[in-house]
Amino acid sequence: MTQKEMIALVRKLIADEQATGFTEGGNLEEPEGTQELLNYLDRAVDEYSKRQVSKRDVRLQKTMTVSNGRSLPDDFIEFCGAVPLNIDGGVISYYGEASTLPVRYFARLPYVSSYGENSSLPYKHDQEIAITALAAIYALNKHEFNVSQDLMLLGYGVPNANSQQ
Amino acid sequence: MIPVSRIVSSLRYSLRDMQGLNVSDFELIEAINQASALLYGRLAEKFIHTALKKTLLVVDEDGQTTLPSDFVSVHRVGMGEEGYAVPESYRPDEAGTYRIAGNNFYAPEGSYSFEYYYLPQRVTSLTDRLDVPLSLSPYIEQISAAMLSKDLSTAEQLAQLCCNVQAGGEISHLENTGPVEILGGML
Repeated sequence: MTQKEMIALVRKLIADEQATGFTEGGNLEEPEGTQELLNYLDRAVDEYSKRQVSKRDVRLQKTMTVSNGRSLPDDFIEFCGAVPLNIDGGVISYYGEASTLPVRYFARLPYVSSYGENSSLPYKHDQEIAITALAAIYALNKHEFNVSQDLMLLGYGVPNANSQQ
Repeated sequence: MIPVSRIVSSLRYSLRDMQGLNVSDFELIEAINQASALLYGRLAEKFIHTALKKTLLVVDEDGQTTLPSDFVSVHRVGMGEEGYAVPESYRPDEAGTYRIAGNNFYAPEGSYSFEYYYLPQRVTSLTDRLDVPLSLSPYIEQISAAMLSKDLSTAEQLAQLCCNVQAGGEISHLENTGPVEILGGML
């Protein structure tokens, strides 16, 4: 799926195929609203990645080569287990001698906005579904739609305490 | 000598973490080092010969030499065909005596067959080999797993069990050891 196709899918989910909902100040060919949808997609990527890391999703695991003075990768979320590293202001240094052991970490998926309009995105199909659905929820939420049910269906959110009684 | 990678694989299987999602290689290797230190400490305390090593110490005319880096405690000091040396509280001057103080071995000039309880060298990478006999591998793995679970009590029990087994104490676990003969009679 390309970035353009993903945005089109979000528009379908929010019933905005004609780009009328997110075109404030722009025109139909190059609506400013597209950038807003991209922001929602990036936000969705961020949230989805953190969710999957909490579930220990192996697809988000990466290995990095560590050397003293190196900065943490931009996509860094957390280390897999304890590693003998000191992080100070995003800069890595070893406790004591440098080790040859692999350092694994959980990485955020790449942002949708970091790809070109027609570039193929590196997500798996289930990731595409979840990210677009979440971005659609963010977009609907802006227009003050009730998205609690959508969040529930996506596994994001808790049932209302009153509704369980 | 056991390859560290083999122990790590076994530990990851025990922890249900083959992908290394929850426990890093560093944690596993530290647990292996702690497990071998605990086990060999207990083996030395109980004088189990599995933890013995032998080396040749050459003492110059200054009457002292450095102990091996993996030294824990002495078992015996041989002098070839002249039998064994005995420990001395003060600086040994007479032949057949020795003294251990700090990191040094003091004895009259000569070569000594030095038998001692050792501590396996720390391992630091997956390609290292742990200086432990294969028969102790299951104990190292189980004690490491207990260490990783912060279950020090189980780790200690496993070390004691290993000592018993290595000393032949496993016979005491049998419920019926059969009739015991004492002075030709039966009990």
